Amino acid sequence: MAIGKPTPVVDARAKVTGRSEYTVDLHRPGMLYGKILRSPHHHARIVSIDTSAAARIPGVKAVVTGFDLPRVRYGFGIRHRQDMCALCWDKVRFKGDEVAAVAAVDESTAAQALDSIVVEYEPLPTLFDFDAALAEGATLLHDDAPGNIAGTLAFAKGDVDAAFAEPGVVVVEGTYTTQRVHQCYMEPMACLAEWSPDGRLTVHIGSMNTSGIRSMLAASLEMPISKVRVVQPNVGGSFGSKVTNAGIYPATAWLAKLTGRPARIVYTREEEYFASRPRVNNRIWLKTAVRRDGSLLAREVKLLNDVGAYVEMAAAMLEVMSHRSDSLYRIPNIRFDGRMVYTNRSPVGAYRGFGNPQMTFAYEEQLDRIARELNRDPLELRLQNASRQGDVSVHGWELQSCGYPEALEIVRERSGWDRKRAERKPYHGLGVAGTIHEGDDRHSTGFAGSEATLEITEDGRALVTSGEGEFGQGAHTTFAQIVAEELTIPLEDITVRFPDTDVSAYALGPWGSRITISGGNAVKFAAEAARNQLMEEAAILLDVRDGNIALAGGRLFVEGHPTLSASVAEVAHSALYRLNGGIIRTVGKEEPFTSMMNPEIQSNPCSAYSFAAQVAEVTVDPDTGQVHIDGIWTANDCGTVLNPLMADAQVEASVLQGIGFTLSEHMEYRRGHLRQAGFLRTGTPNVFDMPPVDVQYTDTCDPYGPYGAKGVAELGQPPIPAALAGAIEDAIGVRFTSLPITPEEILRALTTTSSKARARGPADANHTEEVES
Amino acid sequence: MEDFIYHKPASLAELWSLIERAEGPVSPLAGGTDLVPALKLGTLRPAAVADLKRCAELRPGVRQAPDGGLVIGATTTLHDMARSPLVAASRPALAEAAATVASYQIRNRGTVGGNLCLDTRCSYYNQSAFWRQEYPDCRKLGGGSCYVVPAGDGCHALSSSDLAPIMVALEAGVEVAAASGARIVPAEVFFSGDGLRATILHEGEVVTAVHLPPAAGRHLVFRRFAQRETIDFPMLSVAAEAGPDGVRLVVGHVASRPLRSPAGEAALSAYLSVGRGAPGIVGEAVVDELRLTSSVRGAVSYKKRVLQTVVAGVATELAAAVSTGRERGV
Repeated sequence: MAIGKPTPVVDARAKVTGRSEYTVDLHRPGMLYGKILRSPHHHARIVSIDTSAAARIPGVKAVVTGFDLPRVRYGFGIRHRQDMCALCWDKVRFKGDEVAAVAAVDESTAAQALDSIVVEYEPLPTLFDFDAALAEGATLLHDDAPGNIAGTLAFAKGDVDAAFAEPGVVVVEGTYTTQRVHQCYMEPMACLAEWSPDGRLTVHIGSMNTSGIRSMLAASLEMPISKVRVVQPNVGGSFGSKVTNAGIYPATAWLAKLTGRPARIVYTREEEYFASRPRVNNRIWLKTAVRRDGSLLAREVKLLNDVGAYVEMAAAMLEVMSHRSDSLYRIPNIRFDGRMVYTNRSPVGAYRGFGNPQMTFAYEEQLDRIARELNRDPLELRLQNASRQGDVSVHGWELQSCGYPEALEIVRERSGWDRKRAERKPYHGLGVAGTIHEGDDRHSTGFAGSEATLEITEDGRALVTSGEGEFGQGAHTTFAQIVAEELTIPLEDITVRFPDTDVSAYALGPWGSRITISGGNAVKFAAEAARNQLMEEAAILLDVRDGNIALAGGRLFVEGHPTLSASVAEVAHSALYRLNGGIIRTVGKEEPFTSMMNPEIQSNPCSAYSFAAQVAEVTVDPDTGQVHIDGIWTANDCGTVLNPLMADAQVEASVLQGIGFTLSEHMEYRRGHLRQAGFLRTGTPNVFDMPPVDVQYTDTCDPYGPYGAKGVAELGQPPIPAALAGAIEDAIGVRFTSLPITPEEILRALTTTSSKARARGPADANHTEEVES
Repeated sequence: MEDFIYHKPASLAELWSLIERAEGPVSPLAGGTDLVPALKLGTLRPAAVADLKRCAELRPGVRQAPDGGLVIGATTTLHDMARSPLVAASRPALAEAAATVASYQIRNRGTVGGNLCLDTRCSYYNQSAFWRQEYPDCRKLGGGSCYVVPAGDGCHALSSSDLAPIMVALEAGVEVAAASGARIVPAEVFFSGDGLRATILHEGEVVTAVHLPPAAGRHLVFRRFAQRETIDFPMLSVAAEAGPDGVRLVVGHVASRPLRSPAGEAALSAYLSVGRGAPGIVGEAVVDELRLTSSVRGAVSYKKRVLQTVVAGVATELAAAVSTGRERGV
C-alpha cells in the first residue's frame, strides 16, 4: 500500500545534494544576461527614453523599451481587467515598474547598460493608501478606473437588515487591517527564453501556471499560442505567487528574439520585494449579529483590498474572500461589499490562503468578542455554530465531508484547553481559531479539471505526464504514490514529468489546493485505465479466456491459478511486441461537478472543502513585549491523509509562515517607500523560531477526492493570526486588530492602554526615528 | 558587483607593498560576510580586495599567553573560537556568545578580527543604489544628510559587531599592525564612535590578534536581544564583566560604538559587592545615562524598556556567577 504511508518526497535527495536544476541554474551556449530597468518613481509619466548610450556599450546586445514591444495590455485571465503591460510606455505606477530591458554578455555589462539608459519622467501625484486613493479628486492611476476603483463586488444573502434589527441580538463590530508580506520563496523569479529557427518561442520559467502563462505570454507578444512553449523545471518555492505573467517573461522573450540568442533574467532579492507579487493588504470592516443563545445570525463585511498598480489576480481573490469564510459556520444572512483600490505600490498576488488568513483573522476575532459578551467558552461557541457534514452553506456550498467539529474537539483535548483555562497564570493565554479552505476552486465556466497521461514502458515502469506542476509542494510524490497504489509497482519505478506545454495537457496549475484532488484524480483515472489494459494484456499473454485477472505486488495473475502469472514488466513487454500490440498509454481526465462562484445565485465552486482548528498557547514577557509561543495544536480535516510526512510538513511550515505574518513580518512602507527589501529586516522567521507544533488529523473521508483526500496545503496559515491574537488577549487583556503584533506594539499597549481592544494608527507612523536628547 | 582585483598576500609586508602600488582603495577581506554584501550593494567600490586569510601574522588559532591570558588570531573563525577548549575553559560566556552570532554558515566563515572590524550599519546606507535613488546621499556616502538622526550632525550608523561590547567588557587588547609598527589598542578605544568608520584603523592597518587578560577571578555575562533566534543583528546587547579590579558594563548595537555606562557600573558594583540596590536599579541607571539611537529594530522608547530588562537580567546572572564562582553563557 503506497497510500497513507509516510513517504519521503521523491526528489528530496537530489534537492538536498544540490543536484536539482532550477531555472536559475540553466545555461545555454551563447546565452545573454538580461536585466530590467525599473522606475525610481512611484508614479510618473514617461516623457522620453534614450537608450542610445546603453546600446553603444561593448557587450550590450539589445535594449528594449515599451515602445519596441507590442503595446498590448493584458490581465490575469480574460475575465479580469486588462491593465498590465510587459514594459511601460506611457506611465509608471509604482517604484519598480518595468521600463526597459537589456541583454548583454554578462551581468555587470547589463547593469552598466541600465545605468546608461536616460529616462525623462514627469512625476505625478502619488497615492499610497486607501484613503489617498479613494479621496475625492485623487489622481487616477488608470484613466479608465474612476475613483481608483479596480473592481467591486457586492451582494447580500438572506435579510441582513432584519437580522441586525432583531430584538435582543448581540452585535459586535470592528475594523481590521493587515500588512503586506512577501512569500519569501528561495528561488527568485527567473526566465530563460530561446527562439527556434521556425519562429517558436520556448521559455523555461519557475512558474506554477504553465498553460496560463503560455496564453498570457502569447497575448503580450501578439503571437499564436501554439508558437509558445512553456517548460517548467524545478521551482524553488512559490506559495502562490508565481502564477503571474510579470513583465520579466515577455521582456526576456523579446530580448532573445532581437538578439537571436538565448537570454535569461533572474530577479535579485531586492527586485523580489519591489516588483514581485506579495500578499494583499486589506482593511476589513466587519459586523456580526448573534442571538443570545450563541447562534450566529448575520454578518456584514466591507472590504478594501490594496491591489497596488495593477489588478493582476486580485479580482479572483476578491471573489474568494467574499464567500469562503461564510461557510465555516452556520450563518444565514450575509452582506458583502468589497472594493479593490489602485495605489502606487507593486501589484499583489496569491500567498498560501488567497486572502484566507486575513479574513479569518477578522471573522474569528469577532467570535472571541461574542464569546466574551455572552460569557461563553470561545471554543464551545465555535462548536455550537460549526458547519457539519451534509450542510449546504449560505452560499450553496455543499459540504460533502466536514470534520470541523471533530477538529475543534481534537485541539481542545490535545492542548489541554479546559484544564489550562481553569488554571490561569499571569501573562499566559490560550486562543482558538478555525478555518475552511477551498479545494479545487472553480474560476471559470470552462474546463476546470485536469488531464494526465500514463505510459507503461516495456520494462514495466510508469511515466506520468501532468501539466499541474511541482513547485516543491510534493505533487510528484503524491502522483507517484497514486500510481504505485493502482499498479502495485515500486515508487522508484515511477517517473512524473515536469510540465511542458508542448507535451503535457492543458492544466490550471497548483493553486487553490487543487492538485491532490483534481490532478490526483486525473492520475488515478489514468492509472486505473492502465491497470485495466494491463489486465487485458495479461489475459492475452497468459492465454486466459475466462477467469479474472488480478494485480498485486507488481504481478498479474489468474485468480484461482497461482502458477499462472506474469510481472507488470512482462505484460507491458508482451503488449508492445505482440502482433497488433502497442504501448500501454492511457489518459485520465477529471472534470469537477462544481459551479462557478456567482454572488447572484447559489453555487458550489469547490470539489471539496477542507477545515482546520488550532489552539495557540503563549506567554507574553511584560518587560519586552515578546511573545513566546508555548505550543500550537492543529487538527486538520484534509480527508484521507495520503502521505503523513508531507501533510505534517505542509501544516508545520505554513504554521511558521502564519506566525511570521502575525508577529513580525512586514513589508513596511513609509510615505510609499518600502523601508526594507531583503530577508534581514522584514521579520521573516526561520527554522529556529519554530515553536512546538502538534499536527493531528480528523477521521474524515471525502467522497470526491482520490481515496477520500482533500487539500492540506493552505490549512496551516489561516487560523494562526486569530489564534495568536486571541491567546495574546487572553494573556494581557489587549486585543490587537492590526497585524503584525510586534513586541513594540504589545509593550506600548501594556503601558498606555487599559484592557480593551484598540486599533493602531497607520503603520507608517509607528517608527519615528529620533535620537534621545 | 563591480570588478576588482583580488590579492592574496602571504604576509603583511606583501600587503603593504601592494597597497602602495594600488591605484585606488584596497579593501581587506577576511571572512567576507560584511564586505561581500557591501560590494554587492555598491556601497563599497574598492579597486582591489586583499584576502588576509593567508597572511602569516593573522594566523588562526587560540593560544595561551605568557601572562595566563589568551591570544586569538585574527582569522580564527567565530565557530573555531566558540569551539576552542581554551576559550571554553576560561571564558565560557565568550564561547557561548560567539556561538550565537548570525548563523552556522556565517560563523564558519566570519572571523574574530573581521567581526571586530564590522562596518556600522543603518537602514539607509545598507541599501542598494536603486533603493536609495529617491534620497540625496547621506554623509557616509559623501552627502550631507543623515536619515537616522536628521537633526543631528555626523553619521549615526550603529555598531553591528557582536563581539565588540564583549571585548570592551573583557578589557581586551586589539593587536594592530601597520607598516610603521605594531601596537596593542585597548578595545574601548578601538571603536571610533563615528558611524562613518567603525574603528580607528587607517588604510593599511590590520587587526592581527586579540589579547584577553587572564580570566582568573573574572566573570562575564552576555545577552543579546534580537527579533529572530538566528541570522539577525540584535536590537541591543549587554556585556558585563566583574573582576578583582571592578566591573565593566557595556551596551552594544545602540550607538556607533559599544557604550560603557559608568553609572550602570557603579550601581552594578554596589549590587555585586555590598548587595546594595537591585538588578532593576542597575537597569535604570544604564537607561538614564545612555543616549540611544532609534533604528528600524525599535524606537528609542522601546529600546529603553528592553535595555532596562536585559541589564537587570545580566546583573542578576552576574551576581549568581560571582557568588558561585562559575560563569555561564547566554
